[in-house]
Amino acid sequence: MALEVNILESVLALQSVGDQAYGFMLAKHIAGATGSSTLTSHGTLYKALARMAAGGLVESAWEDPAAAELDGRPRRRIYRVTAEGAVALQREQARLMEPAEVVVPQVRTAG
Amino acid sequence: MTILRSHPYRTTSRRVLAWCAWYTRGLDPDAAAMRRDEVASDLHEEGVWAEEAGISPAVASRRMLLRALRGVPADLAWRSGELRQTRGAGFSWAMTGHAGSGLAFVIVALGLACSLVGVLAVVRALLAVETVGILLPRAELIAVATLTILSLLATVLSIHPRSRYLGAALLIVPTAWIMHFTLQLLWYSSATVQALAVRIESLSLLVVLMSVGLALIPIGATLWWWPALNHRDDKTAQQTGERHA
Repeated sequence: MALEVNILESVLALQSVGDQAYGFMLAKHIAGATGSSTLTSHGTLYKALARMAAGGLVESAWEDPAAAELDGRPRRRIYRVTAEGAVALQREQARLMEPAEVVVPQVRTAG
Repeated sequence: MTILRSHPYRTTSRRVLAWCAWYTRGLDPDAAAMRRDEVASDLHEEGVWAEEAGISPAVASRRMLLRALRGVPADLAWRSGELRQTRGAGFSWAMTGHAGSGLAFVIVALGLACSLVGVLAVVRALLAVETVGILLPRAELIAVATLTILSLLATVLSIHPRSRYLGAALLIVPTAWIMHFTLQLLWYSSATVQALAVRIESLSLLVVLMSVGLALIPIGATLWWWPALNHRDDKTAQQTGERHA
């Protein structure tokens, strides 16, 4: 779930400053936000994005091929957080803010 | 020279995309194409970013390769999930994708098994000639060696999708004859083969039946993959075209 939260937060953060949230940009943003020296692997990132898209947490659209061609690069798949994704993120963030339950070990006394 | 045009970057990109093409093979064409396009875009963007960050092409390429390698388990898990969905989607997809790769695996395994049997039989016969001093059964030795070479060649051809119909066709001969000639060859040098021939009265018939049974596998695979008889790819392309239209 941590990766999903990171993805949702990164997509929203990129959207809020008007940047496109596409695969590599997300990997870079997540690495920056988590202080990681390595980027999320292709397999892990795109598998998570596919799962989240199937679950309705994000939606995606391929950018106009003409625009990509003009820039001389492959077209990007741009992700957006859905309303359902935003709610799920808020719920997860609230859950993470809750204090952890303290588990008291039960010691059976002899006799 | 920019990173995107450097030799290390291009080599790494080619390898990662080849891996991507491998694990997306036989999947729904839309899902496979989207994954390939997404990875291609990612590789390009990472190259551009590395260029702007002043990272050398060699270091950038190594990082890209390691990044791809770390994702291999997730790639395979994703493929597995896609295949499960595909199987649920209908008979035709299952046959062209999963069963197709399963058949390729069977043919390669059969080719390797025939090669191994041939090599072991030749080595055993040559050792017997040297140690026991029996006469070399030249005709049988040449037959088994030839069938072994054919099996190896068939195995190599069966690995690549474009030539696997040729590999399967070539494998028909060794699968049909390797058991017969191996027994003939080992008859002179192996006490086990002689004991088998004594104990099993119908050994010849058994060998014929097993050989015919084994040969049916590459015969079936040849018919399945033969280009003139195979219109599944055209149908797939048509379906894809309709979806994109």
